[in-house]
Amino acid sequence: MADDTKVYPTGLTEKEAMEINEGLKWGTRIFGAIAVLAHILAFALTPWLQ
Amino acid sequence: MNEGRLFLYVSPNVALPLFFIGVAAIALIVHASILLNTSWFGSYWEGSAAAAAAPAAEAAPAMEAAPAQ
Repeated sequence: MADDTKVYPTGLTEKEAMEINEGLKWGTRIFGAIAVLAHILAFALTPWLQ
Repeated sequence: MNEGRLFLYVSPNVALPLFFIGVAAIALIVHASILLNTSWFGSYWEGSAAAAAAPAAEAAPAMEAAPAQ
């Protein structure tokens, strides 16, 4: 596996990069969940797709 | 599952704003397109004019009365 002390061009280690990616993934999931809920409401309450 | 390695070569200070701008741009374009190409979307956003006016008229005196009590 990767060397945790190696610093890449952006000044991050692999562990730090993965940590940022995890935050981004969770943000995307939460945003997606809210968006899905909003679209379910829009489908139920508007003539959208009906 | 190695997408996170992107940040080793592209600074998060660049990648994250680009990502968020991209998401926001797509959302705005899609909603603007629907708004401009349907008749019901604008009405949905506007709500019912009659329903919107009545609660506002009732709420206003209550809002004024509340601080005095």
